[in-house]
Amino acid sequence: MEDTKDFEPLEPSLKNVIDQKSLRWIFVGGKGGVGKTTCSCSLAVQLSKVRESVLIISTDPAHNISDAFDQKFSKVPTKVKGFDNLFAMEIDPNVGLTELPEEYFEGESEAMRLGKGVMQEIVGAFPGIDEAMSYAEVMKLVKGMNFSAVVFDTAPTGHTLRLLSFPQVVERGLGKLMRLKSKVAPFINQIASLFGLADFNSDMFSNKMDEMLSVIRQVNAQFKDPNQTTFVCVCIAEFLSLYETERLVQELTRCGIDTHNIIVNQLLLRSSAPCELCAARHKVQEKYLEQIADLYEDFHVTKLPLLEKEVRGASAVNAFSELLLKPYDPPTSST
Amino acid sequence: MMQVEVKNWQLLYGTVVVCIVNILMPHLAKYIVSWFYSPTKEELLKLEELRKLLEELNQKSIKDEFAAYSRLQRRINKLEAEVKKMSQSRISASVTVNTSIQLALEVLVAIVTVISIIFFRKIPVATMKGDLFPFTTVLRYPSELPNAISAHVWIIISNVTLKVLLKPMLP
Repeated sequence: MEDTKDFEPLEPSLKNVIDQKSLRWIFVGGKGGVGKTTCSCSLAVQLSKVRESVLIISTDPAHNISDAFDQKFSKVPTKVKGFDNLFAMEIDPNVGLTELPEEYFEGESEAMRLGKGVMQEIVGAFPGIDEAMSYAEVMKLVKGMNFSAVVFDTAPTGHTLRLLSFPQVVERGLGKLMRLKSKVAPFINQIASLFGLADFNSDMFSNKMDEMLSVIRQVNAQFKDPNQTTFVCVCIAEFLSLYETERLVQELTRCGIDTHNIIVNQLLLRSSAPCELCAARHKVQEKYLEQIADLYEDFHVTKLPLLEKEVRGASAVNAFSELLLKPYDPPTSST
Repeated sequence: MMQVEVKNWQLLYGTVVVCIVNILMPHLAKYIVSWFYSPTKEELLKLEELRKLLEELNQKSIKDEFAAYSRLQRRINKLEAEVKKMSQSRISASVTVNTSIQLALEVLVAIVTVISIIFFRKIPVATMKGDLFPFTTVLRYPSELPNAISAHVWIIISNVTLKVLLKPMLP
């Protein structure tokens, strides 16, 4: 993202995302109510036409993809009705280690079960940490399933940025912890044997951490690779949304995460305004569209219309998804 | 008023000097380090440029000139990241050197103090003409001279007094 002069505007569609075969992780984010879910579902639909298997994950506690596709989804990837290779999953970021099933700790001794209780307490003390750790678990699960592309319908901006910067923070923190652990582990084992905990092994605690750290390191590397990860910002042509989008773009740049697509949604794109209100709104939108064109000249800016009906249900999403690739052609007759 | 007879001027002055060095040590170390690890010319230029950009940003209205404001903000972010990178390595090196210097000086002061205490254990710093009862034994220990002030008591007295005197003058 650099200032360029005499820059030819880039293609105003998401075709670049569809065409980039190396992309694996696509995040769709923006302020609340701008149409992130509609756009992420539409993007997932288009990707499913050119990729082997696509998964759309919602990390928004509001869980709108069930509404968008008019189908109930859960914590496990479920095939979307009407599609062969499109799956959807809804995870609750507030459900972290505290809600992991008992099977997760199966085969472990009492000491480990007690340790789990202690760990829950510690984890609960840090705000946001349990959602981030459940996020790491999701990453592990998703990597294991080998989807060609994963679309993340993210929660409103602040949450997302925190989660995206989390891998770096955790890697550094956990990394230091693991180095420390290797120094104190022999001592801990000795003390444990003194107290009669013969089968206690500090490695039991650290193995899961090692595994998680390894996943997080890989995640970190992949998120910073523009060939594998990109962030699509969705906004509307209003000041606050634009401000939020710019804040997001700057933060993503700081984190080293690629972003080169902006979707401007809910635009009044008719050739003639049906009423004075719409005409006034159109004028306001034009003003912000000019600012968007000025500020994001090195971005693909896709303009999507405000339609007469809600985009709900697989067929409506399917139809709407075409607009990501081809500009909207408004009806010529005014109402 | 009690009269004092100094028995060992070298020990008296030497102890005072060592106590002063001990108190001023952190400031000395900081001063030495700041000489060698001051910001480079390039860093200073970037900081100046950053200051000017921030001033320019304050004069712009985010609502009326959003695009220009954002472009300026991006430049500032980039510059801040560059300055941070440049200063980080310098600061970590200076902290290491500062800690090492302080540690070295502390070890030196400790060695000198211990040597003084051992070497001059029988030789008092001064004797007082008058009775120091009930503190006589404590003040002269391990010297045997009556109403004497031993080396390590003198070290304690100097340390406490100089700290009280110098503290208001230090930053």
